[in-house]
Amino acid sequence: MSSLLMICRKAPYGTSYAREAIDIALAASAFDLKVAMLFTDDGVYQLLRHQDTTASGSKNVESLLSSLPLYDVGPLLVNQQSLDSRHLSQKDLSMPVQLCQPSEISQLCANYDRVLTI
Amino acid sequence: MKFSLLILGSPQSSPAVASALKFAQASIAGGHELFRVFFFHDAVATGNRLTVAPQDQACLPLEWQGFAKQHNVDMVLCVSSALRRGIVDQREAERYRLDGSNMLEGFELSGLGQWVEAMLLSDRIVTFGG
Repeated sequence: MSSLLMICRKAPYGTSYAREAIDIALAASAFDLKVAMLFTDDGVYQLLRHQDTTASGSKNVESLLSSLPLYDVGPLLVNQQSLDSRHLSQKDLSMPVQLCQPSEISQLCANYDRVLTI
Repeated sequence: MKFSLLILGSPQSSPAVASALKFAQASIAGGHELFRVFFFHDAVATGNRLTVAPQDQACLPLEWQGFAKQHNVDMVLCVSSALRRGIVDQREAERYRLDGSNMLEGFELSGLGQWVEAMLLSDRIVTFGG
């Protein structure tokens, strides 16, 4: 089975990149790829809990992400430094994640057959 | 080496589509193979045949069309990105009862599965834009 690491760097709203990255993860998983996601930079905002998009009418990224484990997408990894620099911690996030250090990311990429950054 | 390209940026407001074309030309010139070019997100506008470029600027849709024809490159527009942005072929136009189609010949509308397949069957994937 091939493996794919998706690196998600975009904030959840303002552009549709976060949503489209989730679409790719789901499609890849449907094709039996082992898919992991690494959230880094503004991408960590995608994982914030209590997202409310009622007023904006956007699709709720928190609920899209919450479906990923059902489709066997995982692990979900988070760059600790991106959280720290935004004064966020694991308790601000909507789902269980694995924290990783920036120094570990190149090894992480090497562990997957394909890496896709959005 | 066998490459596939994922393009995300708009042909009008980002350099992604133009950079990807340069990369594609250089990879063919360097003896490599292009398995597939997948236009996703705003890049699907590259397949709009109604694009009119200013006279002193290159028309990227036509440039991609010519390049792909010459080198027999498979170009796919993500169907869900394209429908959202009003880019449809004849079949989708009929399915959604639209009053016309505007997809440029040489492109094909298809799903994300085409990109997943390209990831699996290529030696390298390269992303432009985003």
